[in-house]
Amino acid sequence: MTAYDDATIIAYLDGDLDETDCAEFERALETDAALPARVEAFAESGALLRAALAPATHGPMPALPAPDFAVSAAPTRPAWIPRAIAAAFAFVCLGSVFGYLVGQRVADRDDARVASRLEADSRIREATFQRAMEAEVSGTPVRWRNPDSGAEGLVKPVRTFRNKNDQFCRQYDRSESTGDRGETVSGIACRDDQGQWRVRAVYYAQ
Amino acid sequence: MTPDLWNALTALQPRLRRFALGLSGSLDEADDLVQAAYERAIGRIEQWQAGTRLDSWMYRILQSIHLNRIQSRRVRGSHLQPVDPDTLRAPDNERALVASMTLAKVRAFIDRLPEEQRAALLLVSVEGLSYREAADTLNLPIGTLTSRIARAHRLARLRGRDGAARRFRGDPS
Repeated sequence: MTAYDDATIIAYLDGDLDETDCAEFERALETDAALPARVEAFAESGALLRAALAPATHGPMPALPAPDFAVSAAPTRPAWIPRAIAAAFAFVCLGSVFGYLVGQRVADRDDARVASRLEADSRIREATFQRAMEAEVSGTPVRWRNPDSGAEGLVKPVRTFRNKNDQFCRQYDRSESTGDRGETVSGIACRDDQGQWRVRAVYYAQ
Repeated sequence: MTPDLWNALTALQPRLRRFALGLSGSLDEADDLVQAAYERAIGRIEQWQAGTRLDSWMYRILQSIHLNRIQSRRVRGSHLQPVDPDTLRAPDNERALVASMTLAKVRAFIDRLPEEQRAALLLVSVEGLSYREAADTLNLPIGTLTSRIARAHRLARLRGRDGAARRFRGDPS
């Protein structure tokens, strides 16, 4: 029987053994008495790592820099090509070339609209969050809604305290839904020197 | 930059933020890194080759910004402003607090890893890249990557014996 080293155990957990090695490893799990415990110890550290970093994937995402679609969208389809085709075939198929051009422009505009709705969501979300944390007494829910996207949510400051650095901090509950998808989280935000509320910790509420 | 590509890029934000949190150790610094990575990506979008993985490309940009920063100043931990747990003690969130303190220990473990093991471990164990993809992202031979991950995991297991892991597992959250 092969004595497995740590690297192989980890590669197994990471799904990186090929089919033969994997089958052999799983047979060894049945027969080698010590192996399951060794595998479990490694599996646990992977799950803990993911759990420890999970706060970064929840809660309001900070706004991103906005690309300039108008300028940079052009290179994917050089603008002169459809126009040149349109010019060359204007006398035979004016209608269909026009149809193609209009269709493309509508599709591009749809994508831009989705992107701008998502941007609007995060702008409204962040503005509501800042306003609620700055101005509302604890226990008061502040609601927001973006009629364009259907997204809505609420922020409720729960209590206020000062931290070690003498900043004001507030615990808050936040929930949000779009269509049938929703999430609820709790967190703590502290007020920085510029008067911005910065999220310090986020965890799932029950 | 097309709207489609931008949508694909923005969809990566939570994962990039998680990777950045693992690399830098603080959410503030993570957000800063993510912001810088997107700025660079917008400026150099023509360098991304269609058909290759967009997420690997972004991870690589983010990691190289992080490396540049720690080389020019010792940034790690300088932004850390931990919330004082004493101020949080309320019956309704005590359980959440216990869980979050255990996870804080795990984060402290990530913080103490050598820089080159940290990125390898995060990409494979947290972000779910294959060894091949992670090696390509970090520009490493696959053997080097494999041994870095094994070393990082071995440390995680040894330090986990302090009880952090066990207590966390006992908490039904």
